[in-house]
Amino acid sequence: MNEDNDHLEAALRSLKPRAPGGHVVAALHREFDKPVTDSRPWFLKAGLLWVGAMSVCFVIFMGFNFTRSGAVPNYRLIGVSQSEPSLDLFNPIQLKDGTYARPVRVHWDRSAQWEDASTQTRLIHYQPEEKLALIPLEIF
Amino acid sequence: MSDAHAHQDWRAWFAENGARLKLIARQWTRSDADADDVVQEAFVRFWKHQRHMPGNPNALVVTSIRRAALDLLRRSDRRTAREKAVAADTETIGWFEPEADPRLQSLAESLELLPAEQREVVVLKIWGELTFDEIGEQLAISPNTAASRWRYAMEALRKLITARTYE
Repeated sequence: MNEDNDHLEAALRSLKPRAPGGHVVAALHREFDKPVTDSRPWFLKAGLLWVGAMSVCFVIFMGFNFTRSGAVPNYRLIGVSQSEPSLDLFNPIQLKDGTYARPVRVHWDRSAQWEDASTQTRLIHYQPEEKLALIPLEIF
Repeated sequence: MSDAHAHQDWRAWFAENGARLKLIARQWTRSDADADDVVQEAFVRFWKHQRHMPGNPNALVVTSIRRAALDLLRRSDRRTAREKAVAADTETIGWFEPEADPRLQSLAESLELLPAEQREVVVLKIWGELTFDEIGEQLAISPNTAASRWRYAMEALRKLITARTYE
């Protein structure tokens, strides 16, 4: 009986299913050709954006002081940090469309420090962040 | 988030696997055109959201196909009974390429005659390349039930082929 099943399974494997229509392949190729979006987590992207924005502000601030007083404060960016995010997972909920999702809350904080060595002054910018997101759940 | 399949050529992967994916989709759809739509929607969904995940992508794609097919069935249930009847009557496209060997052609036609619950186990095992455990997860049945449906399907196929041979 097992030998019969093996023969039958081999015969089934030799059958060739019909390929998807050409329009399916064309649609998928269009999808593959679209520019690939940045797959980094959104909180990292937000962090990089924030560091960039703070750097621009600092340059503008320095330029403003230079044109106003003629003196150049010697502030230097000495550190930028972002904490590890902490996650809170909540019980799944049912959405309006009938699907399920798990709410997730993410906490993290960012800080940037500038120092003027000549006056021993330090500027610290601290920014805590919190975001809520829904992770879709597959339920059959 | 690292991409576990950063160097995967997905065009080549789909070219190699598209036909068996469509056969899987066909198990849960009412027509050849619906199966095409399901494969397209499911693969795009997988490619956008799950292609970075580690491990063999096959089981994820099969899950995505089943979900897309069930979504489509729910949507199309809203169609009128008349539309459904017309759609069923016009469906004449076979699931497999025509076979020159009459025994294989008979086998292909016999597979389509199996009860749906046996047929989907056969298709998921042979063309879905899933184990009985994985089939059980897909269909929300135990692995033992999947295995017994497989045995019934093999028995039924043997009977159908024998009957066709003596027709």
